[in-house]
Amino acid sequence: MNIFKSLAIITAIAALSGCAHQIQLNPNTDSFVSSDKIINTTVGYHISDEDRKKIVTTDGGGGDDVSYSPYKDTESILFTVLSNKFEDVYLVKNLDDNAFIKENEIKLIFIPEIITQSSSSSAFTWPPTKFVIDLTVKAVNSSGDLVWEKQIIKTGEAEYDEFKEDFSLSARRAAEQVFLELAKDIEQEVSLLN
Amino acid sequence: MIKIMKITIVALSLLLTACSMQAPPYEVSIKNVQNIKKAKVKQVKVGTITSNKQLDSISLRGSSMLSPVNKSYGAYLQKALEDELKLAKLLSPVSSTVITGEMLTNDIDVSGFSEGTGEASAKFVVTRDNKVIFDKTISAKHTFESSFIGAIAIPNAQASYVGLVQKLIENLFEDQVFISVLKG
Repeated sequence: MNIFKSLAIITAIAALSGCAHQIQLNPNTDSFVSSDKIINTTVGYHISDEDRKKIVTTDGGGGDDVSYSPYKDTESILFTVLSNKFEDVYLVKNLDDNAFIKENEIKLIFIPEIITQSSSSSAFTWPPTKFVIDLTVKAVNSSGDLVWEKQIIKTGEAEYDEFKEDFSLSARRAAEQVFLELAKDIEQEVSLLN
Repeated sequence: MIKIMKITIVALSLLLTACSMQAPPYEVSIKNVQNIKKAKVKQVKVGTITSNKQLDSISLRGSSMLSPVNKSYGAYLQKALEDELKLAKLLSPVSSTVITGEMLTNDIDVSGFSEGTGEASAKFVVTRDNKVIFDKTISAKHTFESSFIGAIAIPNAQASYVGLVQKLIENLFEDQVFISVLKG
């Protein structure tokens, strides 16, 4: 009977696994508040079309994978962080579009680079229990010169009792921490950006 | 043997899906923020947007999805509207122009094996100095990729809720009457 049970479990897991489950990185925004001292400057951010379309697949639990769009999922929170500190924020589609940058008086352009990893300590549930985001943000001035660069690495964790309500929880927690840190760094080092 | 397999599959399916889950946190639509900014309207206050108990639980193949904001989808829509207006720097807690509302429909249909659909509508009311200057029902529809497999279909449906609310606010911000009363 034990052999039958084991076979049944393996068959069931195989039937339910082997696929990539969709999760999202967009975090809870309650902790993201507007700065007391908004800088009267217009800034931009650049995410290439290729990055925005990028779908990344990393490990989940039980032999399954999870897939997500790191740039698309975090574009809104990057925009929020910048809008909370600067007067106006534009998407700069093309870094070589000097006419657009000049016309909108964009002083700085923030460019994110995101690397992710995920894993799970569970053999039976697919949502990741651990999610790591390695975010590097570069800021260039209107001439294209690098004026600021920051790397932030944060880990989000979630156990079954927590993620049963939100399968993306570990990823959202990682994103929340990484972008809160970015907001803090911009707040503290804004003089370097001017 | 077959019975054990069936029981195991059902048990594992239950492990992988939950009795109740939360809708994802709202993700500000940059398009909506840019559109309302470009409209050059005056600052507004967002009042209460209500929803009834029936609308506050969305069924996704037997699992119920609740709002992460006070378990109310009206409160979810209210916060979404506040978040977008705040980023557009158009939210003022002291403005005499107030947007309130009531959700009328709110549902996601994930019974299809290849495509799911979401539908929501709300009655939005704008008052200025306690006088109603706008009263209209705005609706939105949204489609998303679905699957026969619940462990894929349910997370997809859950994730799609943000897009549905973004679309509802987009339709409100594109309503020319709404824009004109906010300019006045």
